[in-house]
Order: sequence, then C-alpha cells, then structure tokens
Amino acid sequence: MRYYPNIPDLNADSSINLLLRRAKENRTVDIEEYVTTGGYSALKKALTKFTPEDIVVLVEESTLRGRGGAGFPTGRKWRFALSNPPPRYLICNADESEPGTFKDRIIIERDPHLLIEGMAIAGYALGAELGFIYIRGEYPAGAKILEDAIEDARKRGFLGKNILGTEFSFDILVYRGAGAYICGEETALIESLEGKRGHPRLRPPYPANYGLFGKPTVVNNVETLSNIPIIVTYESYYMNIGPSGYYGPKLFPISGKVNKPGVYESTMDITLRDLIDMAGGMRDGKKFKVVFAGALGVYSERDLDTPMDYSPKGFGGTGTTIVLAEDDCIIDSLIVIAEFFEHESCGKCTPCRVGTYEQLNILRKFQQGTATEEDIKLLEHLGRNIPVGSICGLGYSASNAIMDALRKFRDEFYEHIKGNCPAGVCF
Amino acid sequence: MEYVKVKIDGQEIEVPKGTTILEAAKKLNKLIPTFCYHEKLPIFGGCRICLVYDVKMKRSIIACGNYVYEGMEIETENDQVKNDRKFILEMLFSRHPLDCPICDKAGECDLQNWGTYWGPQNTVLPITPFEKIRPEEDWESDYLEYVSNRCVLCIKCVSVCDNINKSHSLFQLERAFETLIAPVTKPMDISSCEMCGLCVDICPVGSILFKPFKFNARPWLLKETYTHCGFCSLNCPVVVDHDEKKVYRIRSTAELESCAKVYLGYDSFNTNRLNGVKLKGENISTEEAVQTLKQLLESPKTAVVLSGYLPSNILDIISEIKEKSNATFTSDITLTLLPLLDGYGKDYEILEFEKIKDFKDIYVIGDDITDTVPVLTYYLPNGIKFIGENPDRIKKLYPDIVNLSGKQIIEYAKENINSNSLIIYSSCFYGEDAYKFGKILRELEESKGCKVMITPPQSNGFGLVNRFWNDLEVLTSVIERIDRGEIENLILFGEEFVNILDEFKFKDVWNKVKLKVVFTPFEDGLTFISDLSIPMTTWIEEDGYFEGSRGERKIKKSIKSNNLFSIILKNLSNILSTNRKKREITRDYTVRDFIKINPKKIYDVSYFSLRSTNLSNWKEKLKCEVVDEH
Ligand SMILES: Cc1cc2nc3c(=O)[nH]c(=O)nc-3n(C[C@H](O)[C@H](O)[C@H](O)COP(=O)(O)O)c2cc1C
Ligand code: SF4
Ligand code: SF4
Ligand code: SF4
Ligand code: SF4
Ligand code: FES
Repeated sequence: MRYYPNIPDLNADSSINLLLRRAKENRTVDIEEYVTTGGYSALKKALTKFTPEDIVVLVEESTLRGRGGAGFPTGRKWRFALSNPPPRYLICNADESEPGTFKDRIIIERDPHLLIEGMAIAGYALGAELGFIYIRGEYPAGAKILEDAIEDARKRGFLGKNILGTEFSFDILVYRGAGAYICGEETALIESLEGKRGHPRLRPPYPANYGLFGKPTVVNNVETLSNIPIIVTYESYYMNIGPSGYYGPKLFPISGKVNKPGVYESTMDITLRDLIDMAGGMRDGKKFKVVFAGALGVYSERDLDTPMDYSPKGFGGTGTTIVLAEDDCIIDSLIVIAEFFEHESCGKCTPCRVGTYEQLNILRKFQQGTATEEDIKLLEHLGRNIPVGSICGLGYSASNAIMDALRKFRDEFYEHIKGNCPAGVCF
Repeated sequence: MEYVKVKIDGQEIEVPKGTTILEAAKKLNKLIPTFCYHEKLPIFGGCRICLVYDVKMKRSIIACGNYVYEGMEIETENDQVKNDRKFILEMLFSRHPLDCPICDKAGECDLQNWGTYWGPQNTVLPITPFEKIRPEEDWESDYLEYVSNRCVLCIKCVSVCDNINKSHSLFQLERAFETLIAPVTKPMDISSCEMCGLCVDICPVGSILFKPFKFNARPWLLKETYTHCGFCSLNCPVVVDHDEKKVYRIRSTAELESCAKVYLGYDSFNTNRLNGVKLKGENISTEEAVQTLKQLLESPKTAVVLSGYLPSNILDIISEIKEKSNATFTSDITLTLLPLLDGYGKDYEILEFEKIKDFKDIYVIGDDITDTVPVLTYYLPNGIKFIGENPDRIKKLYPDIVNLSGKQIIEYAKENINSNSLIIYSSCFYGEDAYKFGKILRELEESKGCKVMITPPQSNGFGLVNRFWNDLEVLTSVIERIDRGEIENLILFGEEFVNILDEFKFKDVWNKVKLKVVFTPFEDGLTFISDLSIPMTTWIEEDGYFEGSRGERKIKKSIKSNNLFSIILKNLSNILSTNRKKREITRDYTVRDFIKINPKKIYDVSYFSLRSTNLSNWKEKLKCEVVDEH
C-alpha cells in the first residue's frame, strides 16, 4: 500500500454507502481492493452490454445534475456535445476551490478509481479518446494519487488502448492548477489547460460546442463523474435513491460550528436541519445562527427545513454547508467571503473586478465603525449591478451572500452602524 | 450569404449572419461606447461598457461580443442600458485619480468621452483622494510609461502587441483589482518590444504614455494630418500631429500600422533643418541657384544621384529635367533594387497583404524585415522560413532559420524553395548578386508557381526605377568616371551617396569633384562641405504620392515649408532647353570593394533614422545590452 502525505483525516459518513462506500476511512483504496469490491465491473458492463447511446440515455433518465455548482443536467450536456463532430474531449473539474468545499478531494484521495471508472464510462459514451483531470494546485497528494491510480488502471487494461479487449481506447492526463479559483470555471479551466491566462471565455459558444482547442468538450465535476459507475450498476434502480427528480447520492461538506465537521453522503430529501444533526449537531450546544452555502448564499434559522436538492427552493449547488453559531458575526463572516471574491476575481470584466473590490471596502467600514446608512444602499447598488454585466458565475454570485444577509440579517448592519456588534466580534 | 433581419431601437436592418450587434448598430449610425473592442483585434469582451438590451431574452448583453440572430430586437438607449453604462463608468471611475488636467490623453480619452455622455463624471463611492491608489508598475523605459491608476484594463495593449505586432512584449501581471500591465522583461527598452507605439495609440485612456510627447502639447491644440509614412516602401497610413511648424508625434491609424522608424524617428524632422539656399554657407537667391544648376545639368560632366525616398510627384519634375539635360543619372538603388528588377524583369506585380494568408509556405530571404519593413511582419503568420544572415526580431514569428549569407543564399534558394510558396525579399544583395537573385526569383515563379513580394527599404524605390529605368547608370561606374575625371560635378539628392561609400573612398571622390550640389532637408554634415546646398522637402511637407510595395499611396502636407524645393525644380525644368543626347548605357553590376555593405538595422536604415535622437538613444541602449551578454 502506498503512503501519501498531507491527507487530512476528515470525518466521512454515509447513510446510503454509494459514493463513500469505500471512502469512510482515511486511506487510499488501491486497485486491488477496488476490483475485489466490485470496482470496474460497471465499466465492463458498459463496454459489453451497452452502446454509448444506451449510457447517455441512462444518464438522462437518472436526472443526474452537475455537482460542480451550476446543477446542469449531465445527460443534456452530453447530448449537446454529441451533436458536434469528434474529436471530443472529457475534462474532469477537480479544481474544488470554493470556500468550505472539500467533497471532491475525499473521492480523489480515498477512492480514486471510482472517478477513473466514471471517466472511462463517460469517455465511452461521448466517443472521447482523451480525458483530463484538472486538479487544484493545493491538492498535491491528490494529483499524485490520481497519477498512480491511472498508471495502475492502465496496467490492468482499464485505460489505454483497446480497453478490456474492446475497440474502445481512452486515456487520462492529470493537470495541476496554479492556485486560482477562477480556473474552476469551465471555460477559464479550458484556457488554462491550453496554457493561457485563466480568463473565462465569452459564451456562446459553449464548451460542448467549442471547448478545448476548439473541439467539443464536456466538463464535469468529480462527484458528477463518480456517479456514473453507480448509474450504470443500478440502471433503473438508481431512481429509487432519493426524491423524485433528484435521484442519486449527494455529498455534503460540512464545516464550522458542528461537532463532527466532515463529508456526509445522503439522498437529497434531507433538510439542512437533518444534515446538521448528521454532523453531530451544534458544537458546545451553541445556538445555530447561519449557514453559508459556500460563498453563494446565506441561510438563516427560518431556512433550516430547506431540502438539499436542486429544486428552485432547494439548497442546490455543491452542497457546501458552513455552519455558524450565535457568537459569530455576520459582517465578519461576510468580509471573509468578500475577501475571497476580491482576491479570486480574474479581473477580466469591469463590474466584477472593481465591484468585488469596492464591496469589500464598504463592508470593512461596518467593521471599522465608519459605515453609514448610505453604505447599505451602496452595497445594494453593487449587488444589483455587478451580476448584470459580469461574464461568469463568479461575478454573478459575488454579491449573493451580502444581498442575502442584507435581507435576512439587516438588523446586524444597522447595529454595526451604531457601533454595536451583536456577536461581540467586531468592536 | 445568409442574411438576418434585426431591429435596433425600432429600426429594422438586414445584415449578414455572423455580424455582431456592434457592427449592425454602426450601420445605423448608433454610437455604442467601447473600451476593449477594436475591429482588428480578437473580441475580448471584458470592459462591458457596450452592454445593450436584448428585448426577447430580456437581458443586457454586450454588443461587441454577441452576434445578431433572426428577429433579434436590441435597444441601445433604454433606461436599463443607460443604467448599465453608468454603472460600468462608476466602477472605472471609482479609484481613477481624475487628474485630467495633467493627463496627456485628455481630449482624446474615451473615459472622458463616455463619461460625458453616459457617466457620472466623478467618483460615486465615498473614496478620499488618499485612497485612490493602485499598485504601480514601472516599465523602466525611456519611451513608454504606464500609469496604473488610469488603466481600465481593456487589455487592448497586450492584445495589439500579441496579435498585431506579435512581439508579445506585454502581459497582465497579478489578477483581479491588482491586475497591472507590465513588460515581459525589463528594462523594457532592451526587451522584445519593438517600439512600434501601437500600445500607446490603442490605449483608450492616459495609461500608456509616450514619454517624448508627454507634457509637450495638448492634442486638441494640434492639427492632425492623415498621410502615409515615407520611411519604407510599405507606406503605412499614419497621422502626423503638428502645429504646421513642428511635428509632435506620428501615430498609427485604426489600421494599426506603425513601427519604430516612424514612431520614434519622427523627431528627425525637427532637427537641423536647412531653410535657405546656401552657396558656401552664404544665402543666395533661388534664381542664382537655378542658373548654377542649369549650367551643371547641361554639361555631360555632371552626375545626379537620386534618392529612393523622393516622392513620385518630385520624381516627375526631375524626370522632365532629365529630358532636357545631358547629365548622368544614378542612385544607390542602382546597386540594389535596379539590378534585382533587371534580373527579375520590369513587370513585377505587387501582391496585396490580404493575399498573404493564402500561402502555405512563406520565405523571408535576406535582411531581417523587422529592420527594413517592420510592419510587414504584422501580416505574417508564425512558422515562416527565414533564409539569411542576421535574424533578429523576426524570431518573434518562430521561423525556421537557415543561417546563410551572400551567394550561399542564392544557391540555397535555387534548390530548396517549396512550390507555390510566397517569397519575400527586402534587401541584402548588391550588384551582380542582386541581379542573379532577381533572375532566380523569376525562375521560381515560372517553374514552381511561387509568388515574389519585393519590399525595398526605400519608400519610393519603385517610383524611381519606373521613371528612370532607361537612364540610370550604375553608381560604381559613375564613381569610376569621377575617378577618370570624366565627371566633375555632382548633384546629390539626399545622403545615400555618403552612406554607401566607405569613408576613404568618399573623401577621395569628394576631393575629385569640382562642384558639389546637395539637396537635403538637413543643415549639417554634407551642407558644410558642399558648394551649393538646397533645402529638400520630406514626406511631411509634400502633397504627392509614393509608389511603394503596396502600390500608389498619397502623402499630404502637414508642415508648412517655403517650397523652395519644388520652386527650384520647376523653374529649372522651365528654363532648361537642351535636347538630351541619347547615350548608350551598359550596366555593369560588378560591386567594387569601396561599396559599404552593412546589415540594415531599424535605427540606421535611412539618413532620416540616423538623425533621430530617439532612435540613436535606443540604439545605444540596445548595444549596451549586447556587450552585457558577453
Ligand atoms: C468561479 C467558478 C468556479 C468554479 N469552480 C468549480 C470547481 O472548482 N469545480 C467544479 O466542478 N466546478 C466549478 N465551477 C463550475 C464549472 O464552471 C462547471 O459548471 C462544472 O465544472 C460543470 O460540471 P458539472 O456539470 O458536473 O457540475 C465553477 C464555476 C465558477 C463560475
Ligand atoms: S465575472 Fe469576475 S471572474 Fe468572471 S470573468 Fe468577470 S472578472 Fe473574471
Ligand atoms: S511598443 Fe509595440 S512592441 Fe512595444 S509593447 Fe507596445 S505594442 Fe508591443
Ligand atoms: S494600459 Fe491602456 S490599453 Fe492597456 S489595459 Fe490599460 S487602459 Fe487598456
Ligand atoms: S513599416 Fe515602413 S511605412 Fe510602415 S511605419 Fe514603418 S517605416 Fe513607415
Ligand atoms: S467593448 Fe464590448 S465588452 Fe468592451
């Protein structure tokens, strides 16, 4: 068994044992163990029992949605790419850089072959011969684990030429990012893979039409692709997992003031409240205050019964859940988020580049005690306008948390103007 | 072509599919503001000032980066659009220092312009002047300066350097609000930067400044004259900014064509200009000058040395004069362009730059064209083949280099050029070699279907050859006739004569000549050792035209001169009445060892460049760098 340094000992638990079946303990499952526990049988099944078209139909029927944040139906994305002529490329987005998001790493670090098997099946369905894994630079061990696992898979004939003796050939290359959140945005990722500065492209055209080196490209998240072997294994039984329309397992990285922060797997009918319970409940018996859904939105006590699915009212996104308690300050937390966006904006477009910068500066005034009511208006002004002119998702969502907080925790802003921090953090 | 119908502000228009909203709107004379858009650059779509409203999609989209579709309805003036524009301007103004009174770009700044129409013209966010700072970035250049505070990060400078000039000298440093534009290597003046000035001209705000121009003039107080550059045969379209007396700068037009020869070299026009006719240093009248010239031209013992930089309108008058004179006519191009075309044939046809992309293989043969005709490289793709001795900046095109010189090149070219390729030649061969090479070029066209593009360093070499084809005698023969005492008088136009002879030979010849007349723009050097000096105009003081490697191109007068040059030539033409005796000319192209053959460098290609302080200083810096390397 190989040893890889720098792998955090994260809690991981599952009520359904699908994505995390082999990943609940902190160790890297090698190919031997993966195969003896049923691994690569989905690939064998796919190649021998199904046509590529069958796989696409299975994925369409599964209602699988992208786990990278946007929640786009995966089958539809594949269909779109298939309408364009080959060569086609498959890219696995392992840039996982959103605050509080650490769900993909658990698959990569503990059960890499699940992802590789998923990519091989996806490659088969898409008629792609080459796949890329773009992994964030801050996951050095993950990159090494993947490289080793890919090498092992090649040796066993699960990757490379004529996989399992069939006509199908597929290989995977691992690329490491250089520390930019924006390179998780699929078109910036593609630019980065091409060796250029990580700037999102203008859309249309979309990657499924004009992607890597101008060729049709599917970009999918690690968790999305790891669902593929499960879909192929279970076929229509997959539709018994979870609520109608939002089938399949979902990972939830939970951090903050809970007793057992970690990655939890569940079906999507779970609510925010149940999820916090699953993570051991609030730490030290503190009172719940707010959940930051990564950097994207703010959920207050009134939202605790939100279902964690992709419905309009649902939690959606990556499933990232940062739990804060009564002694945490909204403003202070928003500043952390705003700093993140200010730092990670790629700078290509004016509203996001300047907007994220100025929004941070205004927020800081609340903490410094120099804010006025005018600053609330300015925050709203920025929040309304930044998304309109922005090119990519970063700009669209850079003010979400602040706007949410202004709606749900408005009092705290006024208290700060008066020089009072209810949580006792700021002054 | 497929057409689509779209409605813009209620007006219907039919445009080809694939037209952007911006282009379609332009057809209806709509003013849509832009910062990052330029018609010759790839669409960047970052500044977002061009947001318009798509009625059907119910959202704001950028006009420069979205294409029209059948039935599209666009509004460019509704409240949403006004709001969007204002917001973008608010953002761009948020930390802008608002230092317009001391900004060189004031008056021609898009941020000012769009601010006036759509903006707040001030900072909306409560930010004190002390907070208006961005990180700074010193480009370490004597010529270009970057002011980060004013930068709107439209990236056009980087894009123009990458996509037009292709030297990739700029990049974006850092990211987000801290993004800065920086030279790839510093100090900039000895980097890959070619000092073409395009990044300065394309900057929509006062963020990249040209130091020699800085604080010297207010653009709106200057006159601008659209003309064509006379520093090489490409005759690029340029704008001269002047006050009729002095040139303040010469910049590119929307065609994005300019190089250091003109961008830095314009200052030669402002130095040591010869203003009056002088006989041994004393002013004399034009009549006296005309009489002296008349006598000289009637004599068969006089040689006239013409310049490849004289525009065609002037050459026309000289051509008339020639018909009424018994003088011998020659030029330095009798060693370069003339033998080449003699070997190739008189029927050389120019090739339009747009056609370059049709060729799979492109050869550049001879001198590095980034020195002789730099703008041509803007139109060449990567991966050309270079056959020559001193490839320098042309390496930016990642050429396959065959490092050869002189006759080796000719031998190589004879055998190794692929069929149907484009062969570009600017200079390097003299005399017989040029003649031989011309013949080979013709052969390659006839036997291998190649096409030849000849781009001489001189702005009007073709005009000169076309007019004087039958009368030009080879310069080396003329020198020998001076040696033999057959020629006693010299009339020089320009200074090529000095620059093409080695120093010793020049002194020798000069001493043998009895009467020396020089037509020159400059009162220095030659005028001090000549008997008669007559002011010559340059391409910024003439209405006329060049016949360059892209065909005829007009030049327009910007600086007012006393017109002595054309007055004298015209008077001369009027009073001459000799019937030119036909002389049989045999051209012997053998090159003698007194001919100085120098590889051409951008800063000393012509006698104009040699007088530019900007170019000489740059040359010194670049030379220091070479020393450092060893
Ligand atoms: C700023 C930004 C960062 C993103 N980062 C990631 C990321 O780290 N990982 C990821 O899978 N998707 C990320 N995405 C989403 C991708 O653009 C893309 O939608 C996703 O990879 C598609 O995969 P999916 O359909 O499987 O979710 C990001 C999007 C934006 C706008
Ligand atoms: S929205 Fe932000 S991150 Fe996205 S392209 Fe614009 S500046 Fe870059
Ligand atoms: S002057 Fe020309 S070569 Fe130099 S950086 Fe600017 S655009 Fe590039
Ligand atoms: S320096 Fe000028 S051209 Fe370059 S990005 Fe800034 S504003 Fe644009
Ligand atoms: S390439 Fe020639 S014509 Fe064009 S700007 Fe340079 S010197 Fe002038
Ligand atoms: S001009 Fe259209 S986005 Fe800049």
